[in-house]
Amino acid sequence: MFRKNIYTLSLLLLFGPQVHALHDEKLDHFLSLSLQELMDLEVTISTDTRQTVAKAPSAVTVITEEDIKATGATNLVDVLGSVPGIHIRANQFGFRPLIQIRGATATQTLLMVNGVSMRDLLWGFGFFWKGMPVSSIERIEIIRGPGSALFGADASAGVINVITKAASKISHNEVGVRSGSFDTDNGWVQYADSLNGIDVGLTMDFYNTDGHDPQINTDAQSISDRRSNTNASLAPDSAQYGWKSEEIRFSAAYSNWRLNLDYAKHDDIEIGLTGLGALDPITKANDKRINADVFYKDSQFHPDWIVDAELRFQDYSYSSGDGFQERPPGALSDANRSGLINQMRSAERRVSAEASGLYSGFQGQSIRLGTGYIWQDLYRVEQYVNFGSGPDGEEIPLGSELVDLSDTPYAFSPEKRRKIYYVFAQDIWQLASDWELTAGARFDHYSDFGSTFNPRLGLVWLSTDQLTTKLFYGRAFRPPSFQELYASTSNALPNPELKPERSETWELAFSYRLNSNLNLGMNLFHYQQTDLIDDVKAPEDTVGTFTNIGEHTIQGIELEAKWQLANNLRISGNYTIRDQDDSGFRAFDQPEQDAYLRGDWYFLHHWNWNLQFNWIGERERRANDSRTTLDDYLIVDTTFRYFPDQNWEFATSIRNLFDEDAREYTSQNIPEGLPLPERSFYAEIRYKFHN
Amino acid sequence: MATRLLTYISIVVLSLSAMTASAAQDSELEAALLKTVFIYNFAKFTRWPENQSKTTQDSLALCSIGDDNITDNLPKLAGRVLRGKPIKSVKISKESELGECHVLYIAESTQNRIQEILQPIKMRPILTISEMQQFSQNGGMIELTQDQEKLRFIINLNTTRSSGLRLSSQLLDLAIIIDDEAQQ
Repeated sequence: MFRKNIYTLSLLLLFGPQVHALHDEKLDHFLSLSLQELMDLEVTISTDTRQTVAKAPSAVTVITEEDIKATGATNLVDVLGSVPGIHIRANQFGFRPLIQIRGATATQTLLMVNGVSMRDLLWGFGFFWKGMPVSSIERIEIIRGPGSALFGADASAGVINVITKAASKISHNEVGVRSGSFDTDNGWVQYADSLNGIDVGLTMDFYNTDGHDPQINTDAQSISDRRSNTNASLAPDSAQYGWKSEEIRFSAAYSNWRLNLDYAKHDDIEIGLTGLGALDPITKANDKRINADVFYKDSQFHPDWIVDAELRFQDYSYSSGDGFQERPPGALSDANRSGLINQMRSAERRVSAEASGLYSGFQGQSIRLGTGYIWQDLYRVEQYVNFGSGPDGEEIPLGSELVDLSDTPYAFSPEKRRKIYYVFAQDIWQLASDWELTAGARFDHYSDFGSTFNPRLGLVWLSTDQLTTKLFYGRAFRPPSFQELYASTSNALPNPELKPERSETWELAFSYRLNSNLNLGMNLFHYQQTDLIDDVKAPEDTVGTFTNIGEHTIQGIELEAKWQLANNLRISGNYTIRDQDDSGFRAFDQPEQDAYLRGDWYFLHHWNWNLQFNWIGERERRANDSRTTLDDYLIVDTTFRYFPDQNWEFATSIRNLFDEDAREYTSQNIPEGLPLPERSFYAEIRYKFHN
Repeated sequence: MATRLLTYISIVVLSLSAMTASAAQDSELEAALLKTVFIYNFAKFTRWPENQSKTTQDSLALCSIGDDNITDNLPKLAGRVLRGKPIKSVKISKESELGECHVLYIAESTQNRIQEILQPIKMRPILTISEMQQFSQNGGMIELTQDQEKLRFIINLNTTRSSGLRLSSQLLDLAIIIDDEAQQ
């Protein structure tokens, strides 16, 4: 089987190249890009070596819409795995794609959409986080390393900012449909117009899937059945991971003003397995996020000043529907006839305002100063349970009806508010023609835990025509969540005295341009976290209390290469190795090594072929875990894209081409790990209107 | 597993390296095409004054003067719609024909008579673009330039302002700005 695969692969690869002047297709391609994307393209002109001020490249990885399309990705998280240092680890609870950067937990990643953090107040990474559809994405900017000096909270291991397609940047109208394995269906529309000088844009995306529903042979309940001599576990059975989503984004731009209105809703989210690791076939959860943002930018405010202002609103709510079924019927005792049910609903609101100015009055310097205010309100917490503590604090007998815990101290969180104000400053200073210094700092004051100050420094040296050397230092923080500050759960007690988790990162980077076709990069980093929060149990306690207790250090090397073999053929790849110290905070779900390789071939005028390899190294076990090391895996995806004319585009993808048995790390409650999707197929059609 | 990964990688690298076929000429034409699309984008983000004559209202005239591989590519944009008007590509031979132009691309081949071209249209709403060095400091509006291997552009705000054109902030955000007024 394996040999045959290799053979097919080589055969495919050895089709002769067809290099021609593909200019009309190229023209359409260029016209479909935004000006920003065009500026990111490299042009290789041998004759013209005009000497201009070499602007230092930044530490940002930018993924464009074209990049995403080429790989056949359907979700943001499908694309992020290609960035060095990023591992997307699916979590058993809802198969949530947690974005982990540089070996840290996902709570240290700041993910923003148009500058708005997707974090919720209670659970860190969004309770029903499902990534986002790619049809509305214009580009993705990724900064590895700390970003708190600019963006504030959570930007410790890295920052991801997704920029959506907005008014005046949508180059054409389009409709598309996609269908594939696991009963996945997806449709989208993008539309742009200009009415009386007002540019408007609209994108809509509708998606549903049954999920890959992996087989779980032993779950947490199987293990407790063995211990307590019950027979309640639903395993072996499949974990249900279906979900639906709808996303509508409207934007308008007029003169110096922009408006974004976003609506994103997930429905019928099946969680598969509970947080503990028991199969839960009944939960159909939903969540809804509404954003309204207004931006103002005046580039001609004053000869030396460009000013920006923004006002944002967000409402995010979720409900676990009839679930969660924390334990199946029959667990713990026969009296438990209908399962342990825990229904959770909450809603939060955020209003924020920021103003900043870019001053360029000093020769060779550009200085940004800004200030902002954020108001966050967890305004609704509702909980219904048929086990644990009742509204009066008394134990609910098993087999009871659901009781309402809302507005009692026993609900999963009190309704709380948080206010934050901050100021920041950054100076990019061209010290000499080949030296650039970036110095910045941000001061945040939180109404709950107090203040934090986070500086950063970056020094870029154009060492030779080919080599650029960069040195970075930065500090960052993660504020304690409402769960850690206020919510009593069965697992841990809250602690209102908590301070933020902090981190300090040093980074040395080299980028080397061997020739115009081959770029190499190497990053060395040292990432030290302090004041990490964990539940600490005194010998006499039955449950622990959240405390700032831990320290953890991760060091690593990231290697990158981009090779343009011909103007229609490109290979890129990266390899990461990192070393985590043996503190209690070591993330065992992270591989020590991972690698990514990608090839793109534009051929026969109308075709693009993409092949990508994503290798995740083996994952070790905790000292008290008797399981053998979790195997590494290699997932290969391939996508063919065919664009016969300027209107139609067809694509077909095979994901996990070699049907690798890939598994993500789970605790000992799910001993065999979490199986990732098997080989799957997708087909896509899009029609572009060129009016 | 690791050997399997290595096998895959070597197959890909070997097969792809067998396909090396580069064409310097091709990449130069591609650069010209890319610059053409930059010009298209400049027009996209420019607002012309409302009170223009009938002839200039019906279409968007993309004019060029002189000869290079960008002037060869500009006609490929003809017929596409920008700001609700079809693009018309016009090759200018006499300076008197400039009146109808919305955009004027000036090839480097006209370097020795650049002032004769720019002077008569100085205060008129014609977006002038060129690759000539110092173009933006010598009365031109947008100078296409290059930084390492990426295209950049310099905008002279003073000349655009006095011409009555209004450039979108999205364009200005990406530009290197020259503002003579500010330096006086």
